[in-house]
Amino acid sequence: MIRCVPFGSKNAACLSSALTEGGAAAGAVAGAGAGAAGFDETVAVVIGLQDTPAVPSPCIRQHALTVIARVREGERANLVRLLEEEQAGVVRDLARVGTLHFGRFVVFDRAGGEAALAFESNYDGDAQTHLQQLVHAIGPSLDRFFGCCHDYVRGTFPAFAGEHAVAPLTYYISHGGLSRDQILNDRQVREAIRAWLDDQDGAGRLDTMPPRDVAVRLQKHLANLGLKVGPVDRGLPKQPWAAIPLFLAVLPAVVAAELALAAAAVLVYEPADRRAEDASPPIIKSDNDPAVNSLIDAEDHHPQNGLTHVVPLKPGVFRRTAVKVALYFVEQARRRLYFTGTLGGIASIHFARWSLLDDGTLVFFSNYDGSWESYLGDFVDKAHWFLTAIWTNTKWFPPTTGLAFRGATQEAAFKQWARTFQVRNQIWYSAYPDVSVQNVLDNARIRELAGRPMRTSRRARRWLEML
Amino acid sequence: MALDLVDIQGLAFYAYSEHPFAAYLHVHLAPHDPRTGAWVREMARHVRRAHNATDRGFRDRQRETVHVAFTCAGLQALGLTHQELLAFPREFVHGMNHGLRAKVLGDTPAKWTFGGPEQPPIHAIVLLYARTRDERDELVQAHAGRIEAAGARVVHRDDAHILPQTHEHFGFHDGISEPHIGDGPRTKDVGPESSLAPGELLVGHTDEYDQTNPAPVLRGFDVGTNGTFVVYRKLEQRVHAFWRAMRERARPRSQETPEQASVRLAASLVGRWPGGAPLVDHPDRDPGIETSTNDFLYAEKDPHGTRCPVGSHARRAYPRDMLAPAQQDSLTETSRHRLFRRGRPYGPPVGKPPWTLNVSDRDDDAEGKRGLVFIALCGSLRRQFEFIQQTWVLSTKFAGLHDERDPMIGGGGRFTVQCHPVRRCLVDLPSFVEMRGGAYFFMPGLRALDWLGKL
Repeated sequence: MIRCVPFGSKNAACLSSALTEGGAAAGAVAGAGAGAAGFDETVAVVIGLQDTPAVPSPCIRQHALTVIARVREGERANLVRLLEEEQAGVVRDLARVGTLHFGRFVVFDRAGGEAALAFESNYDGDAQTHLQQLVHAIGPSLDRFFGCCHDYVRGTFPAFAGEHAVAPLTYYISHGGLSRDQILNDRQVREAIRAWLDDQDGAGRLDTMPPRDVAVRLQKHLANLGLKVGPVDRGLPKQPWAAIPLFLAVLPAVVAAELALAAAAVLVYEPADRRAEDASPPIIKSDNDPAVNSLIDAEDHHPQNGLTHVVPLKPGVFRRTAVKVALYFVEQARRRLYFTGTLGGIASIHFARWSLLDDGTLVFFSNYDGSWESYLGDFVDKAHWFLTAIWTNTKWFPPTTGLAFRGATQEAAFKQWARTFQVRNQIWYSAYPDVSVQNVLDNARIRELAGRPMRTSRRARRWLEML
Repeated sequence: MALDLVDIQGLAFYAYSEHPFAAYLHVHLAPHDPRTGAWVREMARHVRRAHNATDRGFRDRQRETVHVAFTCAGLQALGLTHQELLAFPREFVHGMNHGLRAKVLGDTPAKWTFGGPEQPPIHAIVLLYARTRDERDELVQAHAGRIEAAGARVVHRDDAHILPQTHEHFGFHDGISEPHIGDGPRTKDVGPESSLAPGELLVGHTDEYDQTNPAPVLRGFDVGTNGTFVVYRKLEQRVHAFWRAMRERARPRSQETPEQASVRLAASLVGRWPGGAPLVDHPDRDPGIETSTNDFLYAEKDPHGTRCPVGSHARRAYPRDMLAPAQQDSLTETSRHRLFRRGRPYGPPVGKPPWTLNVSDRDDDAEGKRGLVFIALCGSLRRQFEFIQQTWVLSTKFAGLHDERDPMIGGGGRFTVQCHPVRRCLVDLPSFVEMRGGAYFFMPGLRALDWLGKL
């Protein structure tokens, strides 16, 4: 049984996600990847077991796959039509991809004006298994979609994906180490608990029962149903503070770089931007632009949404460097500090990534809970400083001082800028559209404690409180 | 900067409790009729300005108070073009009955009794406030005459009134939590209320982000500044169904009567006792109306909702410091999503307070309709009213919950009451509140009103 490498270790090849580096990554997690399918044999912690399970579950890592292909000239409209026609069928068939959390197909225009097709997925385990499952589930659709792109040969999606994968500079995962199967299992456990409690309560049996009795009877019920409970190894640091020194180690260099860049920005680049903007008025879309209404029309059909945002960098080496430093900083922070639950105070993101394309297009894909207004509101209220540090390097961003100030705090201007460069997804898929980040983490904790012996009333009480 | 109280309509700051009888006339204007402009200019002379309203003695001496506001279609009927009106925010341009708004608000406009897509378009609303029922009816008659003389017609009328002890029909003390504008005149003193930037109420002013709430400028005239957006929703309340459900599902504790148990259960849905006291401070019994305080928080006292359920109506409508992950962030966030409520109940109350269990055998439909004319003012419909409705009230994922909405206004379903040893869920609750119709209006400042009358 492969134990996962410690979180934050240099050897954490499984963190690297681009297929271009895929050889090592696939090798390192091959065992874990097989574990995605082999989950059943390994986590049979049912009831009454010891505090530490005899058989540790394999740690399964999540990865980002971003395939970006150049659409052949004249094929854009055809491709969009194809994607829209096949949307329902593809979403239905993606449910068969056992390694897939979230996925999307979206057509957008790159900085140079050329159309591109992006496929995004957030998947468990090794890339090859994931790609094979994709081909198995939606192979003909993949052929039709990528058939509209340059260099695509029918039936070669895995190889094509390897050649056209773009590594994310920042990849945030809110529930790392919880595979799709695990999340679905935990939801099932919670639903079983809910049904039992409703049932017992309806019969008036709970009011007078001591907490320990409730807990033990509930555990028995889950065991009878054959549900998998107990801890799994998420590969997180055992102590939340353990990774802080690793973060602090990179901090001085990042801060020094950021300060130097900020000084240059204040003295040279930001005044130059302002002059350039005065010369050519921004292209920000108005509140009543039909394109914005079309984005809104596509939102809020589930408690989750997928945001695609594509914006060109400002020209020059300076901006390219500054955006990389900012994204490196956020990547370090998310690895060491925000490895579960929130990213800089935002608690509603399942997965998010930034990728920088060769031609200076900055692409942002995010899968989040709730409404756009609340998500973007969180950006402004809680995470404006690092989002400003990233996006101030892109065109038409609200005026910024010293790379990190003002910028996204200008609520209305920031939201309008975000809407201007948002792209409507043609196909967006979630394996668990009715489960929020908070639900995923709570369900995991409930499932974990469900496998613990309820020796004390206090432990029982703590578990019951979460239900 | 001092607010221009001569320009601002008085409803922005006052609820006119000394004029308990109100009537709301929804008006369909005659487009391109020259008399329409004259009517608007005449209304501008009747409208109560905020500076007149600041003096309580002055307000008491007035027989009446009048306000007027317009929908986007109404501004078009006054002579502005659709293209020009795109300078207004999307929500207002769409109108409340638009499909995209209905998705956010959880509405079914096709079922409305007024303001729906198949009904005559509402262009304007005339809000009338009087001291007595008779004076209100006289006032309505006078204004209906003016409206008719302008070639327009009243397509819907709601009468509303303040109930004893400012209760709403379910029997709960209402309107306790009310923000006020830091620089503005205060309407009441109810303890350390949250003080907000003027842009949260008025267009063209600094808001809680320290940004100017942008004012539409049309044909070189600033039509937005000192105006406010008005949310109008007629919400029918099924009072008997509510108390019947509470009685059926209440579990009396030892030494508790069934009545007390159902009031306790009802309070857990609302988040406050009928007297207004917050459950988080008084989890076990109603201490009465004098404790209807607004000075309380949730995060420390009640992190798990065992005092006041996390999905209760009061928490959802104004979560204070309870939103994850950080208390201070939560307070900042909630201050950016507040409303200035000006609503009043309509229809006869089910009896004298306390209105609890003796009412529950009766039939809501047989007794005539009652409910709340919900009126709320804000500087941004999207960031204030719609945000609260979508992200807090109707969200199934609010505060880590799984699949339930607001138990009072969310259309029924499941409601979780956190308690020891384990939570209790009320399942398949019926809907206690039905949306009957409504619209978004813009209530312009007086200068803008005059300008609109001269188009």
